Amino acid sequence: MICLDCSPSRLKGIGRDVGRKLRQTASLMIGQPDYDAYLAHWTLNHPGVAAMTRKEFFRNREDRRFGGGIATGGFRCC
Amino acid sequence: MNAQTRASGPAAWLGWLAVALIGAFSLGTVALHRGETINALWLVTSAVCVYLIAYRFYSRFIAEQALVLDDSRPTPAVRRNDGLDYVPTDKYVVFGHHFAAIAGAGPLVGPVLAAQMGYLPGTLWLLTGVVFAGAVQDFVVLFISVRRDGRSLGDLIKTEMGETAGLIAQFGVLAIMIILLAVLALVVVKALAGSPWGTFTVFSTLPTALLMGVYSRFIRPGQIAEMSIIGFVLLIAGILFGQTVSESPTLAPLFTFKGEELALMLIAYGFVASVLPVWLLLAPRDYLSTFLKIGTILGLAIGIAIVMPDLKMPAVTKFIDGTGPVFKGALFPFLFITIACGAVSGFHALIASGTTPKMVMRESEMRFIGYGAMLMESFVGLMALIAASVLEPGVYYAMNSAPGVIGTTAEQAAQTITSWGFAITPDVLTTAAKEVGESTILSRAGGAPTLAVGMAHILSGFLGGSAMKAFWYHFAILFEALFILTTVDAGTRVARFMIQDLLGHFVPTMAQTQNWGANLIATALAVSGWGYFLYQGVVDPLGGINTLWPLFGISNQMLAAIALILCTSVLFKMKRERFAWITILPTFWLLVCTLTAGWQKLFDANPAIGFLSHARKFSDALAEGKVLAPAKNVEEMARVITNDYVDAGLTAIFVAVVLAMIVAGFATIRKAYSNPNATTREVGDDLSGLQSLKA
Repeated sequence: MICLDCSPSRLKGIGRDVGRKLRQTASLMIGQPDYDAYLAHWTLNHPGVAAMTRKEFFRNREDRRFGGGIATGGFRCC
Repeated sequence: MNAQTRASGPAAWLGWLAVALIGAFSLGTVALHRGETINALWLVTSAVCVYLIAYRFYSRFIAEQALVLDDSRPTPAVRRNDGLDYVPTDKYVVFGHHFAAIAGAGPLVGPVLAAQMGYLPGTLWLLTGVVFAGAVQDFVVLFISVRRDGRSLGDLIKTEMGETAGLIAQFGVLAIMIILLAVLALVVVKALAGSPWGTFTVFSTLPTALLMGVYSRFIRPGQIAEMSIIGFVLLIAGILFGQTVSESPTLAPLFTFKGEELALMLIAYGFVASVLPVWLLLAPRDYLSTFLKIGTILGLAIGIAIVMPDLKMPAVTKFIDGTGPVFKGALFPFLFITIACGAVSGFHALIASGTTPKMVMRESEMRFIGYGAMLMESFVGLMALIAASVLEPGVYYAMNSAPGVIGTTAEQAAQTITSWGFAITPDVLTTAAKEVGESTILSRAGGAPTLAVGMAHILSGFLGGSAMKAFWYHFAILFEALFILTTVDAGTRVARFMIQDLLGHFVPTMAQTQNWGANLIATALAVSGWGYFLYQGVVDPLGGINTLWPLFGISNQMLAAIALILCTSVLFKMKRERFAWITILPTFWLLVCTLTAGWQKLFDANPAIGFLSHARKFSDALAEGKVLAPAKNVEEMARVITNDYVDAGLTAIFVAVVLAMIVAGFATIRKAYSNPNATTREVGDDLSGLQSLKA
């Protein structure tokens, strides 16, 4: 989207948004989904049950990526 | 809605007309140009125009008319959102994820090998292949998987085409995997043999990865960016210090190995690496190679845009007749086998039914993710083709021909290649080697070194000049080797799971993935599978790549054909057979190419092409007590014959798998066609059958 209102605060917002998406993309490329999204989802759907910490989440996803067959994302090809 | 109204305005149509005209003009220039050289930008422009038009019109037609994507249907990510596997994700983020998962070493190697026929055949196949086959396959498989809870290809074949078809496909995938790992490992061996600089650099990635692994496990868990930066700095230090090693009379011999030694090391490494915990070695190396790959692709694209190199390779060479030194076999069918990834790749069907379908937020976004990412991969293939074509053709052939063909000295090589009509002097060959910091560039088959020289040529054009050429060459070698080693490690693991799964049908204990005994046995089977073909390829005096790459290409394209047969079956079951030509067209072409190539690899009378005639030639000689080069004694003669029969057997298995899938496809389609109602089972329908399969 071309920004019509090019105020500094607006540009900063866009910059932050792009930066966040780039970071998410880079993490997902190596099999790490967004922790904040997970946390939001967990608190909403499992109230009272402790969510994984950031560290646990990271390890859980790492094991998941390489711990299964071809469909879990650890293998790429050509 | 906004996009639609905008795109149908007269201004938009004028814009698309302009794109079409520019594309047609560029493509015409590329195809009809008969001068000394042509600028690479002509290729890039025509490709970009073709991609734009294909995406805007063909993929939209598929999305809206054939598949009828429907944003009101919740995707698996939305329905089963768990914050872990199923996560509704922004489409650009999923696109990046999907692209990183489909882009591996394949599109970088195939087009380089195919450049022996000139740049034009490869370019045309990369463009038509991706538009009508590759991107269609990725897109439709993604669609089928999204409509079925993000199930894997094997599951999809089982539920849509029957249990037997599923089992056969599963077996086929394992066989393909073994060949893929062998051929990729061979690429690394060919690049590192006799190169202390390259070998040291690649070896140095091991302690680097271990350090990163420990760092991310115990010191700063989850800090991927930090860890990757540390890793990257150490990698560059490895490249720089590699030069010192290669120039040191005491250190250089420690890192100078023959192909056979490297092959054995790789086999041992593959075994150890795939039983170690993932966080220690595999995961950190995966991070490094993923980011390095994306960065290098971007760098190469920028490099080509800035440097605008001229292509020195002719548009079409005489080797389209099948006598080329890089691989044997005529343009049809072998060009379409050699360039697999980049045009169409069956492996993508595994990715498109892997993690990606679990993250798509809206159905309409599949068009951008499935079709779009494959267009981008095709562009990567095109850049590899450009990198190979900017070299002097003489240098290209010297690097990619086997020693049995061009000899082992620069003089012999220059003489032979000049006699083919590509004038080159021994001086040029030695200078080219010296420029990239190597003692020789002769017979460095396998694509990676050629790509590395081409990339060094392009990158040094805008970063660092010729002084940096040797650095860029080893950077490119490192980047490919790192990538391939990660694939070998992860692939061995995946092959292990597949073997355990398959053997579990007969010996239930084998299916227990936590069982160390079963784990080690399956890993050993996986490693010895690809290790056998790797070693055979290394000792093959014809270069190995010559034999293994066509086998890989055939198997990969056959997997694509299998995936497309599934897509066609599903279109019939959905009662959308009016549009089935979309997948039948590429299926038919792939079947024609792969079955012809399979037939020729088996039965061609020319021993350079047919495995059986090669075996016969050696058997006859053996019976007369003669020893044929490359074998040096009777035992080696016997080994050559055994290898031929193994290769022939494997080809026959691939052909049999595909024939079985054609039969299964016809049966499914007939049944679906005779039923007046849609028979496909999408999620939301009764899934009891699916659940039992999963158990």
